[in-house]
Amino acid sequence: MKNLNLKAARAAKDLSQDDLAKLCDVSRQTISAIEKGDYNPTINLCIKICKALDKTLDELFWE
Amino acid sequence: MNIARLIGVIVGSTVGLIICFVAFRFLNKDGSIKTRYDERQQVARGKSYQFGFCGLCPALFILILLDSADVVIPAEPLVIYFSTFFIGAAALCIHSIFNGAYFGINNMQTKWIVFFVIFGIINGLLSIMSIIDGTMFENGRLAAPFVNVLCCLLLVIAVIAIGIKKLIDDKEDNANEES
Repeated sequence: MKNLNLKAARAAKDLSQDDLAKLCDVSRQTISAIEKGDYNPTINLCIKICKALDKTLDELFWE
Repeated sequence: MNIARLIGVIVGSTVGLIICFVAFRFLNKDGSIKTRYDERQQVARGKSYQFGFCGLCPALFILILLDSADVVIPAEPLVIYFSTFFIGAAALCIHSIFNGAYFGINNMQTKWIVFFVIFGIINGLLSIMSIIDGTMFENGRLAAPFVNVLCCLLLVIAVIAIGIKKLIDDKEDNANEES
């Protein structure tokens, strides 16, 4: 299932997938895979993404 | 025992290792010789190694069958070993490229691609020179210079796969941005 919350939060911060990937120390393809719902990140990566986007885990990863 | 040939293989392998070491040092963003992969890439690469192993095993099994049937392959043992290695490496390479796990997060992709192209050209030229001076075949068998052909082929396959993957990614990104 697509993670539209993540995509919206990234867009709101005016960040590209590449920018977010650099902030989280992962590859751009990994951010793309998470947004497309092709990959379920570990809790550590979820926390890194939340910190980079100033969001909570609930806001980004809970439906 | 052919000492000259043994020394040649050892020197050749050592030079190859040194080139790889230098390449990692200069083609990685942090100057590290170790490539870093993120968590998704590590999982994908595990699968890629599985594919590589699954490619290598049937190739070795076919060689065992041919050997058992006393079939003489018109190639030197070195070429046969490299051919099986080539199959495993190609499977690993293609799978990891199409899963976005070939380049690590500290690799400078463009520079690595240029490095592959340069080494592909060098291996291609060495192959052509071997054909011209007649050293590609010895006593009707494929000789050691055929390894250059395999290396060239592997690099060409890698560069083509990287290009195709880039096209697929760009197309998907455009579709995502529009949606």
